Amino acid sequence: MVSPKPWKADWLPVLVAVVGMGAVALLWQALAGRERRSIQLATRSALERVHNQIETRLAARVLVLVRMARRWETRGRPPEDEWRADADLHVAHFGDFQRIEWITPTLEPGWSVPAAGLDGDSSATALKFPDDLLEQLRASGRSIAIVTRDSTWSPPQLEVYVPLSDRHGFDGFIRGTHHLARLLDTVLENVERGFGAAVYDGPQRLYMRGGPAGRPAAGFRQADMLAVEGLNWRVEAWPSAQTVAEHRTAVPLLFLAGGLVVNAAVAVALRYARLSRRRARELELTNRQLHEQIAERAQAEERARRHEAELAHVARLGTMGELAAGLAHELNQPLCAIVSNAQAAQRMLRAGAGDANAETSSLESTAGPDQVEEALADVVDDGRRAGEMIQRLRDLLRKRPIQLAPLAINTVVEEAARLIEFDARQHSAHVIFALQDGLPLVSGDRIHIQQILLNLARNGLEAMGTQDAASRRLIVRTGRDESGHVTVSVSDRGAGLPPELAERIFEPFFTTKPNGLGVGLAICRSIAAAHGGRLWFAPNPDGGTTWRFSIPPATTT
Amino acid sequence: MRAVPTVFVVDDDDSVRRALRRLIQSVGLTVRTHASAAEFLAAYDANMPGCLVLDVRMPGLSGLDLQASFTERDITLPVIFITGHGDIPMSVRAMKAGALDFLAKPFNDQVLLDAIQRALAQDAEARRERAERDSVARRLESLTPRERQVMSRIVCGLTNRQVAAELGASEKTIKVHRARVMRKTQVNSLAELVLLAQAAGIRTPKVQSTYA
Repeated sequence: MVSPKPWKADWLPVLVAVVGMGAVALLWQALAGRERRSIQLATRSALERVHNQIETRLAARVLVLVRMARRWETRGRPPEDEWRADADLHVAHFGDFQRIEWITPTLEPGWSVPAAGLDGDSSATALKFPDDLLEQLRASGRSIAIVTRDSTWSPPQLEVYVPLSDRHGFDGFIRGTHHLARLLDTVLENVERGFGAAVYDGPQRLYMRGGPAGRPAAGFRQADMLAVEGLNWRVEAWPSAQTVAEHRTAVPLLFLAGGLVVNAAVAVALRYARLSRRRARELELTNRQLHEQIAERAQAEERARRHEAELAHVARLGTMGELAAGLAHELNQPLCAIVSNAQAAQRMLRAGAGDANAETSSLESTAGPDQVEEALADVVDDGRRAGEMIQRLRDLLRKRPIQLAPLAINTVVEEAARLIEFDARQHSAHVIFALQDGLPLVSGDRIHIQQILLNLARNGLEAMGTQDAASRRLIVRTGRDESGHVTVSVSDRGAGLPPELAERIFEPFFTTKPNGLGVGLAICRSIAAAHGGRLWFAPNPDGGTTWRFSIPPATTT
Repeated sequence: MRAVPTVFVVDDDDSVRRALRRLIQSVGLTVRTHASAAEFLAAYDANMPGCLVLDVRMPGLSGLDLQASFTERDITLPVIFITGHGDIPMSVRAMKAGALDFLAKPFNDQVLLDAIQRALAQDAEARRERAERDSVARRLESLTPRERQVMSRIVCGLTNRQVAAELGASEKTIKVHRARVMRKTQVNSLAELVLLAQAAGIRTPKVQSTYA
């Protein structure tokens, strides 16, 4: 299995997130900047309008005085009544005129409309001619001067001085005094809704409307210089908070929020896409490994099966090797019988030929053709017996896979009986066969079943090796169990199996014998399993162990 | 009275038994076959003369075990071992235990029959000797301790007077004892008595030298 990797820094989604955030921020800034610019633009145009209006209005006021001065120039000093009427008209027309005055050439107050003193004490002081005005005019070379006058006790005033001359030369000034706030109010009241404006003369604020610039609006404040006839004003304009708010839409913020959300979603999606792709890759890898493992396991199983078959063969060879060594001797048994019978027959024939010696013994007198016949029959039987033993041994030694065929279990056991009996003789033990009649045919392989039987018999015989010779008895039984399987059991009267061995007895290569391979029982069990049966053991009540294996009956009828 | 010598064959293999029975019968000997040591022991009586043809390896009591049990059972039957898997250690063991022969199956009939003849002869001789020894022993057993003292000194060559001096009895008494000894042991001469004493294993040589 592939162990899940520890969290690995995945930089691509992070990079995408960062770049995306940057892009969103830039766009957001661009959108916000566009709004800012539009506010600035609006503010600028408002400022321009304010600037122009002020300039236009001032020019109009100045023009009124200049016309009066021209008339004075061309006609000479007018009669006071005419002048007053003219001035009065102007004062009435322009609401912001406080008064229009004539200042004598000696710079003394001359005429005043409305009449001096009518406005109260304050106006008397207001009439004071600015001391530095003449110097100022002379220095600037201009003919008209506009000054603002501000004081703590009166509202800011705007004074326009236009010099007068007649045939005799300099004849004083015409002064127009304006109520500055009123003048500018009329200038701006219709113009700049939604904007604030202020007028400064140097550091001194002359006028402000629309309230001070609020926090969002302060950044949009714009200023312009206004220079009219010696007047150096600074005009400022700024949008009102409401204007700013009107221009400021939720779009950039929505865009920012949406962009960030989308960006985060993209990054997360990317991360997961990559993760899932990586997982898919890992899965694929794991899958491939799994397939390889499966293939490997299949191969290993195939190998194991082959090994098992080979081991079974080796185990058989092991058992058979021991058996064969003894069997070579065991063959001496029938051979001995054959030789002895044959020689006995020879003797009988010789005795029969020499009839003269016929009186030797009463026993021998019966020696005739019948006896010779019997002896030869035994010779034939024993010869066959020897041949069968060799055949059986060859069968057992042959390496072959399990081939199931219907078998009569008792016949199978009887065929192996000679080998078991022989083995028992080697161990000075008795074998008793208790074969039950009427058992169904089993589906099995004769040689392999005999191998199990021989192995169990051999184990049982070896288990009794330390017993008293007279009590060494091995019982081979056939029968049926509750499930209808045919069973073959081998009971010994040995010491029995210690429990700690009983657990391991079926392990391959586990053996208690000095020369054992340790595969016998393991293979016996797998052979039994290959037949669909099983192999187990249980202690006998009177000592020793009973080994039993079961084989299912053949299904064919 | 004397039983016919019998060849006992003990082998668990039926056909071998039959073949041996046939072979041995063919030379006119009496044969009894048994399938196991136990069966043989059940049927055999120590007085039966003959010999035993014994298979080494058998279920239950093996041939060697059977042979080993002969001493305690007081069986003197000569044993010829036959075996299908004779190996040297086994044959050595068998021969040391007093086996007469050790034949590997299959064997030539003549070899077996010769061995049997030898065994029978040996058994007959042994039985004869044993019978003789038994009769001597029986005769000696009838003597009183005093008579035995007298006899042991006489066969050493002591005169009646010497015996009397040694045993602290009168010469006349010794004479009476001596005559009784001669009668009870059924001998007619001193020479016969000496032979009998020898057969009975009575040894007296040292005493003689003292008085020589």
